Amino acid sequence: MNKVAIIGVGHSKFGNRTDVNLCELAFESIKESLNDAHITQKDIDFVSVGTTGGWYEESLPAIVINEYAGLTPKGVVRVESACATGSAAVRECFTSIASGLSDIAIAIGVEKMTEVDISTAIEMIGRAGSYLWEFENYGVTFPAYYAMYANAHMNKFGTTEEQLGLVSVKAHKYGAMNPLAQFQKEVALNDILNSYVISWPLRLYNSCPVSDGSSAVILASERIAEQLTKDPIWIKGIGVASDSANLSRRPDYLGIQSTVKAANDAYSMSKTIPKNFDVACVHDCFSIAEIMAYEDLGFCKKGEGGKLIQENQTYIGGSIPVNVDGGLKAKGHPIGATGTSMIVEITKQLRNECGKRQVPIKNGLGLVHNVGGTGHSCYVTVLGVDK
Amino acid sequence: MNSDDVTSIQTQHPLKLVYQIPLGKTKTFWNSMSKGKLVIPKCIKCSTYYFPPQGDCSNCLSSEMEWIEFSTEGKLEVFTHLMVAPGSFMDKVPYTVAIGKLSQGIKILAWLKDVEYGKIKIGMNIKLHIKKINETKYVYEWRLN
Repeated sequence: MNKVAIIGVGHSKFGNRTDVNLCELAFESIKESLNDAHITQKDIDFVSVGTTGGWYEESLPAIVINEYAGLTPKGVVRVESACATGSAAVRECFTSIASGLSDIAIAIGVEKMTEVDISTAIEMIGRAGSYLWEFENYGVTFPAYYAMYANAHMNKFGTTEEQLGLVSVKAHKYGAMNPLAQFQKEVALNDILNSYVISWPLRLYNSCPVSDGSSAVILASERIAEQLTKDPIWIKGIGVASDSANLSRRPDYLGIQSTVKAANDAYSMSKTIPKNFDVACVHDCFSIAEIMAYEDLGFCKKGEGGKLIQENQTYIGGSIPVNVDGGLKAKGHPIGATGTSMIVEITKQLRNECGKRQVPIKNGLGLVHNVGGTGHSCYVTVLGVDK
Repeated sequence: MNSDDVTSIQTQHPLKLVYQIPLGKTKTFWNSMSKGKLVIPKCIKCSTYYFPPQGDCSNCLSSEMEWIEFSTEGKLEVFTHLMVAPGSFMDKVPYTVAIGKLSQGIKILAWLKDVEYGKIKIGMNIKLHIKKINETKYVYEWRLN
């Protein structure tokens, strides 16, 4: 298998982007990533567009984006893996290059969720479980699925609402330092604990927002990467796993089993262990998801995720800085763009380009953890400075 | 802003999506509900039970099922109270979604009705009730037992 490197990244401002349409939003990241890689559209062999869609007017988004960005007649595919869509788009490019079929490929993650009203957006996301058995008669929402995880975790391990709140305090602290984040202000723990309940025990400030945004990652073969750039960031491992559509078919609600499997595969492929990483982006769609990610990725023992945030171990300077870009909570969660956004962030961290929220790079290794749905799918990607 | 300054357009061709879902392979389950019974499919070849019910075995790929009547008593595994609902459930809030485990081992997600907030706990005894909505539609709901 050929080695694969990241040679260019781009990232739009996340938030309520009523100033641009779908193609214009994707264009912002595509242009920035091409400039970052010092190449043009002509150099691209393969295009992978990650977007879940339905909330914007286009039925075939990959095609219109490909045309708008001047990527026609390059081969293009649309990729979907729920909230892990962006990581899935990157994996498509990775396999294309690793197999030798392509030399340079671009993964574009994009979502435009605010073209429909918010209750329609909530309805569309809620239907993303097992429709007939969970939504038709019972109206389950995504906050409700994760609220059940939170309830089970609190009941079994004594995790507290305060610990859930501390995850959001951290997210907003770093979001305030990220000019591309949807929310760029710090939030006090009291305000989080007093925000209204969306699905008990989860409150407004335990939940990621509905967002618009795009991000893009350009990948290249070893030969091309070393010709084009002095500081390629290598994809050292990728793990992917799935779990049941129906939440009732999981053995318990204390963790995400697809995370455990995807992480083990990525660690094994990259010959890494959890304590090797300088920095991580984990999937914090709801505060409990970040606490479970600490445990399922091996940053702490099962049941001790609440303690890890309480001891500030996931801040810069702690044992493993997590989501120092603001996470899904403060940076925003434009579904298809989230996985690519995480890979952009870790690439920039490993290149020491993150300014006041730069983590000290010691081992030259970073981790990206992107969950689809309620753990329906999970992608874990290990990035490194060294080949 | 100048009123001549165009910033967006609202599409004039709204979609109304109503799906027709076939239930033929699980009709024994739906027909039994109208008789007040909960039946669960069991694969004749490999003995795997399924809820949600299904006519094809995900394990051994056989399509021969026998339908076993189950006791509706169970225990509360996990729950949440929804205060914010999707558009089509807006008039139903607040409601409680729960996953319960039947004494015979199958887990079912449904509404938990008649609950007092703050008083329900994981592990409580619950029972599945089959409720008639109209001549052709029945739903099942958990209640405290």
